[in-house]
Amino acid sequence: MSASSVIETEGLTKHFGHIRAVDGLDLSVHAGAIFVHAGAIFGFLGPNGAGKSTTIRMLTGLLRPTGGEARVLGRPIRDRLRVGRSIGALVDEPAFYPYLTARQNLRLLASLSGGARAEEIQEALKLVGLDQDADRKLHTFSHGMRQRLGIAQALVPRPRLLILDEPASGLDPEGLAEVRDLLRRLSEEGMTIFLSSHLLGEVEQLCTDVGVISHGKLIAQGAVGGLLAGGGPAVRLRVDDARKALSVLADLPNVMAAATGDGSIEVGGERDSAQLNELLVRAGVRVYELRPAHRTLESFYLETMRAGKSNDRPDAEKAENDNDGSG
Amino acid sequence: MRLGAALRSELSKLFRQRGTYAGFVVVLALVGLLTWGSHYHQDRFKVANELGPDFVVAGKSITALFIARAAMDVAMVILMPVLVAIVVGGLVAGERQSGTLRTLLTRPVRRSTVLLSKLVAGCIYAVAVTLFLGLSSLALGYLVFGWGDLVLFRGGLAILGPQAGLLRLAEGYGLAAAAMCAVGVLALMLSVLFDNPLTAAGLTIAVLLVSGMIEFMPYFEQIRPYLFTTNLPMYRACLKASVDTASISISALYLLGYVSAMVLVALWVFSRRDVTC
Repeated sequence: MSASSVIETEGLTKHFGHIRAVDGLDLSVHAGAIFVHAGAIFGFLGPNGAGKSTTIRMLTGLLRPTGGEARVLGRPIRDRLRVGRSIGALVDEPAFYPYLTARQNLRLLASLSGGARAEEIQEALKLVGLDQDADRKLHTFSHGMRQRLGIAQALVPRPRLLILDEPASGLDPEGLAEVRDLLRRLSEEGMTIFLSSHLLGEVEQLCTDVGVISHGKLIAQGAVGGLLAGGGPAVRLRVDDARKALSVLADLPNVMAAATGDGSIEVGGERDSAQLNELLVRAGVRVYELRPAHRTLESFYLETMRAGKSNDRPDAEKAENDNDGSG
Repeated sequence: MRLGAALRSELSKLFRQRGTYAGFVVVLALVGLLTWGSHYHQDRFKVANELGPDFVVAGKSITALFIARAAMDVAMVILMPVLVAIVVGGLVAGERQSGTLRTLLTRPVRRSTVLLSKLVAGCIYAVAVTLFLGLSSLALGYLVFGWGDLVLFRGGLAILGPQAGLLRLAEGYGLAAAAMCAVGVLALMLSVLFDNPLTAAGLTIAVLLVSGMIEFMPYFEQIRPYLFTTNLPMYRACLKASVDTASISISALYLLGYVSAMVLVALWVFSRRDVTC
């Protein structure tokens, strides 16, 4: 493992009974996977149940790994106390004591990290825009305010590494922009941020690096710019029957196609635009628009997930199905 | 290492919740009812009734000390264990259910420190609510009946002067507080083992009830002296005419054994258990 990495895992595994939530996860770019640099903003992506939260819980000491190793800031996660002194974490939904004020909550939590000065707490509250509401009890807070307070508690005392599990969950567009700006500022100050998110647009705007996890395994990783540049320029199609078009395109070798959020289709891989058009028209699909498109993180993610699914091992499928079955 | 800070935060959480004070209100209501009942139905509470026709009792037997003794007799059997079980049973399971345990344990603090701070906070609550029972019954008893002797008629007859009576009650309440701490440890252990605070509290009461029932089953006669509930009411020894210190010491030792075992189980499980919610 590299001594200068911020987070590195090697064969990190977590089983819940016979379900493999995280299955031999490797996070280390020089060993063939991801390397999270100091000051980087790393987006950890994957569908529900992929193992993102389980990984984050292992990194923050809430879960004991079944196997493998993980190092945070150069220390093994078994050394939880020393690791914990340098990280701030928001895991899952932020949970606080509703009968205490925001300030009292932060003071109480900070006391378990060795304490924080009143100015530090005030600064954290100001950073997330809650300084005016600091003395209100938590039961009067909206979901978005709790989310922001969750980030504030992770910043007291000021950590070197910030680990955030779905930090944008439940935020309105204004809140999203505020959190994005805040995380950028913290990154510019040298803080490394590791976050999981479903909001691919946000991740694309914010993150310098991403990793994609599926069925507990890392299936893609790298710098965002590099990943989006890979695979060559994409083509965006607007057609009358997207489903039919996708089924036609799915039969083509070395071509990856995915429906995007706005109803159009993005096609990557080795293809010729004129051939694509001809093929679709012959299949009875009306093509309204065919233009070169900037490859988005969303299309990269969907392609990666599609490719990852075809490579899934049978036992991972079984574990996922069992997991779904258990609710 | 951070036990002091963790304990301060536990106490701060505990005593800033309204629910914590509900127990004190219930205790006050019970003491009020007991005092009112003793005042309006004094004939029924006459010590002579307890002693039988061979005794003639003159003077005031219902005093502040009598109310404090009666309150202990009445409340320690069910009410106090229920109050302790509800509050302490929620210390871990309640935080797990609300998700705050997750927030707490991402902090650089040993899990054993967190649990021990909860244990001490739980014991402080148990002691506080027990002492409140004693002090409120003394205060209300004094207001209604005034000061006076303490008459004890179990295991013989003893009439203790106000000072000696107060001292005897202090010993009794001290032992009762210790017994409630033992109940608190049981509730905390179950709170570590179960995710739902109501389950933890309910099981605490169920364990006490089942253990209490076993006491009265003839087939378990041989294990009766070692049962948790046999030794829990060690405070009753102070309400007898003469104090049997040997039986108190034995009960205290057995309870210490139970408490040690339960603390070890709780620590072992809490230190290893995954926080999944």
